[in-house]
Amino acid sequence: MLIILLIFIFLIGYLLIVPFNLFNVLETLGLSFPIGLGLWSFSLFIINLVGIPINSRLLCVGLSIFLGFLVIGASHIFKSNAGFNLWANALDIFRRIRLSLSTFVWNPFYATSLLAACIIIFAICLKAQYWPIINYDSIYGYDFLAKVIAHEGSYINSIFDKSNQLYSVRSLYPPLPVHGFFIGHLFNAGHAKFIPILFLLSTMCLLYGLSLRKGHHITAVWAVLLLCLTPEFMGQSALIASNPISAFYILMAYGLFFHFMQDNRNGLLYVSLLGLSMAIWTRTEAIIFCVPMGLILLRSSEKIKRITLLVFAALIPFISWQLYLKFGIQAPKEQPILMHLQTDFEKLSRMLSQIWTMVCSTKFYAYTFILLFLSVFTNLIFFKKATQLHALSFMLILSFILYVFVYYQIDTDYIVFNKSGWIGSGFKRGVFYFIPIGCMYISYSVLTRMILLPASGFLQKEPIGNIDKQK
Amino acid sequence: MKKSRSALMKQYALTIGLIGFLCFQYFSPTATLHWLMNNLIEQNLGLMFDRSKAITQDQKSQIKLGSNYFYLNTIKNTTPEDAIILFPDSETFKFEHDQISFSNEINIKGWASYFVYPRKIVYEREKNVNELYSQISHVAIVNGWGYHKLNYQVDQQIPFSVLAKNR
Repeated sequence: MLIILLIFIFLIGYLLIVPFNLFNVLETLGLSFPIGLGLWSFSLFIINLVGIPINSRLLCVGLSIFLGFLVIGASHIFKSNAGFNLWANALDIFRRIRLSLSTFVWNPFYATSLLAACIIIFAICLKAQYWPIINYDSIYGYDFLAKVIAHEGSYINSIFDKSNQLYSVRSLYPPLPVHGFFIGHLFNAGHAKFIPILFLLSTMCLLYGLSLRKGHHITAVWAVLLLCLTPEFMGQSALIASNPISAFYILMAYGLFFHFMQDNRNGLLYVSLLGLSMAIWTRTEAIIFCVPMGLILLRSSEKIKRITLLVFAALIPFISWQLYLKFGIQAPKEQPILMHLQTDFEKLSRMLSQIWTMVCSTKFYAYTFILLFLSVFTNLIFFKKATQLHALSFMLILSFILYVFVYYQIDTDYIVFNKSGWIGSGFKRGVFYFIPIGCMYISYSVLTRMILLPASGFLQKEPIGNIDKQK
Repeated sequence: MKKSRSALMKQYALTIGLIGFLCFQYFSPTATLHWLMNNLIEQNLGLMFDRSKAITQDQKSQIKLGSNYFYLNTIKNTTPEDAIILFPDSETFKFEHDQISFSNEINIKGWASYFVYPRKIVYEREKNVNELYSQISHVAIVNGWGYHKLNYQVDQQIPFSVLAKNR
């Protein structure tokens, strides 16, 4: 029954995105499960809100079937031009993967990179599924809450009992990851590590698909390999944590938004905004990522309609969860964030120094951030030739600044730098937001195209940075 | 022909570069690949695929979490689901016994409760602040602590156990 539920959740997302007829094979595979889980989680939240216990297997499976039919109905109402021949679409996907791989698999660089990436992903998945949950944040956070919901049937449960409080800050994050982990406990699967595994596989598929869309198999596999070689990200992906999940949704939001800027296809924008909503439904601080998107949309056509959609996509999950925290869970207002603007430059300097040490550490992120900084730098040097990357560069830089600003506003002095501090713990995993999308950015960067493509024997004479012409 | 040969040479050079980079990663102690080959594959795959070394989920948790898991799991297996269990203060857990030493997590209620849920934990330090203290049904015996909280005498006092408060 667990497998059936996971398949139905996958189908919800699949049925939602296939009618757009905009996504390549790997994007479809990568997007389906996370979109399905996001919609399922939001529906489960509403069901719980009206007072129905959610710890019924039949209810969970029934809800996924209902959502599947709802999505099919919605696509008929909006007169989608793509048919719903599920088997034909599935067969087509596998045929296209075979064709696509047969063309490139004989390139030695491609084959080596793909093999290395596959070995790493396989080993991480194996490790995740084999070992039980041991990390502190899961035990005293997400997985405990998931376990209690599966037992008591409600999000408001004995963890939040005022006479015997058992919650941590992690119990107050939005419910998407917890709803995912809850499936494992509801179906007595031992643990819910299959959720991070499915997200890891989805991240890899989507990253490859997005990097391939206007790029090349060589650069796409490079992006995937780079992500696989990022120790902290891969290590956390084998644990029950919300950071890799939110990193997936930011890849979905920003990656598709980047392609929307190139192609001006509304479908890409809609699914991108769905990704943003789900990122906020995973961790509320992801709301900062809507700011660069909004600023870019200000310069687009139909800006009123698009910005309205963006505002709704960002505010619905954010406000719903804040209201639920306040009136449902009745969580205390002990927020470490200062609500007034600080002007402590010494604190800023200490914090930036710690951040710089952290992101440049090959121990945590290998060469991913170093390559990302180099890519941004070369794209600025070749500013006029890499016009398509301006929007994505702006989005990444601004969102990083905003993210750093959030940490600046935390009520601490940043004098001590240790592994349990704000930078050594929270920020270290928080920057996962930028890793998968950063790998996609690196794959499209002038740097990669200047060195990797010519060296791999492809497209030597193409203009640097003009990504449309290089396809 | 000359052009395709040159392209081929570039491809091989790039591949050799990539393999060199992967080798560097393999020998770099903090890299994913090093950890993967030396820790994950060497140590874990032996456990995962060797049938003679097959271990249960409980044993896996015990390998990773040590005495904390063993003790909390024993409590879970020997008390009813509605039990309210009295735990000692952190000082008692700190005392190192010959066989059992606890890590600090056992003193964190949210962490320890995960393993015994739906049973409830009340620490001795909460005596005056937690209303559940008056409803305690079981006492966790840790390093010989706890017998004085029982409403009856125990002849053979062992250092680690969990006992009902009333006979």
